[in-house]
Amino acid sequence: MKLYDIILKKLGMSSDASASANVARDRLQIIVAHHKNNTFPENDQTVTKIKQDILKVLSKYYPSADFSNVNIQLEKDGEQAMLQIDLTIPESEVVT
Amino acid sequence: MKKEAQVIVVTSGKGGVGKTTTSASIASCLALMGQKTVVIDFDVGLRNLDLVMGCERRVVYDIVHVIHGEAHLNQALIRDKRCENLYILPASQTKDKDALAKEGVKKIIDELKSRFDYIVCDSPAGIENGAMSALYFADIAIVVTNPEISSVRDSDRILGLLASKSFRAENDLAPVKEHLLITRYHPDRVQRGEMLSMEDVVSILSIPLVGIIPESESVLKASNQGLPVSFDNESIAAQAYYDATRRLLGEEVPFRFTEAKKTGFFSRIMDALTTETA
Repeated sequence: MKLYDIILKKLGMSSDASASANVARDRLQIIVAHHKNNTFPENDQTVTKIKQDILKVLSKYYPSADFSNVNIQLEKDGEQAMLQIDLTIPESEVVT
Repeated sequence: MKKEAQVIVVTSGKGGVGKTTTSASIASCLALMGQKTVVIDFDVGLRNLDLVMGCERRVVYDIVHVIHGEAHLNQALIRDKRCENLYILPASQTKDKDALAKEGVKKIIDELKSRFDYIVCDSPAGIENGAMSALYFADIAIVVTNPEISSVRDSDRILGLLASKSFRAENDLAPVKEHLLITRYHPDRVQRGEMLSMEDVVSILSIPLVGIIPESESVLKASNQGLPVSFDNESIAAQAYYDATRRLLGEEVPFRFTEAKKTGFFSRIMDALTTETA
């Protein structure tokens, strides 16, 4: 970092994009927007149960896969719901 | 014909953000401005309001005694010694989570409406029984929020509950009037980019801002003494609570205590040389 930048930062005069408050704000905008989009008529518990059931089905077909890194998103966009699943199926399980 | 009494819930979701301080302060301000005000502690099991109001030795009967018919409302209400318009209804020390049944609370609120202009409900933290009972009959909600990530998310959650689980929501009436109150605001830290700004919080929660209470040592001193901070004229927190109360009553009041201290270039250099790097 240049000396000038260091001095400015110390004087509290630089608007550092990585300033912690900006990080907090960006995180909140995602959390709150996600919450607003994800308002199903059912409550959050139902969505969690849906996710758990999906994992059970996947484990049935890929019994030795590790699903600790799976990402399941169930979101609502107006009248339509969108289900997105990101997971890695291990090579040994892929049937060619 | 007496104007219809207004029920105000002071809530947040998050604990420790200043609900009880706010309930005591706003109730005191309203009373000092001539409004007959009662403030009710809705915690179930942990009393706090009586300490902040300084009437802990005068508590004989509480809200649950009244609900169970063991005491009349008059016997449980405690009149503040400093202001004749101000009354307190203490919480119960019971561990029974279902103690605050809807019908029981409704009866009390209806009776209070005939005697008071404002009924301030001090909600406990969380979204359990006490918190839900406190917000259920509200006409107005003051959502107390610290400029801090957990508090903002919890406030957002509480806003969702106010819009869906209140009496007004369940009966298709005009919605609860929501107001944001930012507490423990520190303009210097905001300027340094360490704290969410009031603009950030307002834009994330999207409800009207009724007040900004700056971080102030006077709040701890006040609760030590059992004196709502509003009675301390020197305190910037007290002045901010007055401004907020005036806005609640419909007045347009400019926001104070929101700007960082303007220091000269030289003193900033001295500060920078003598303080640690974050």
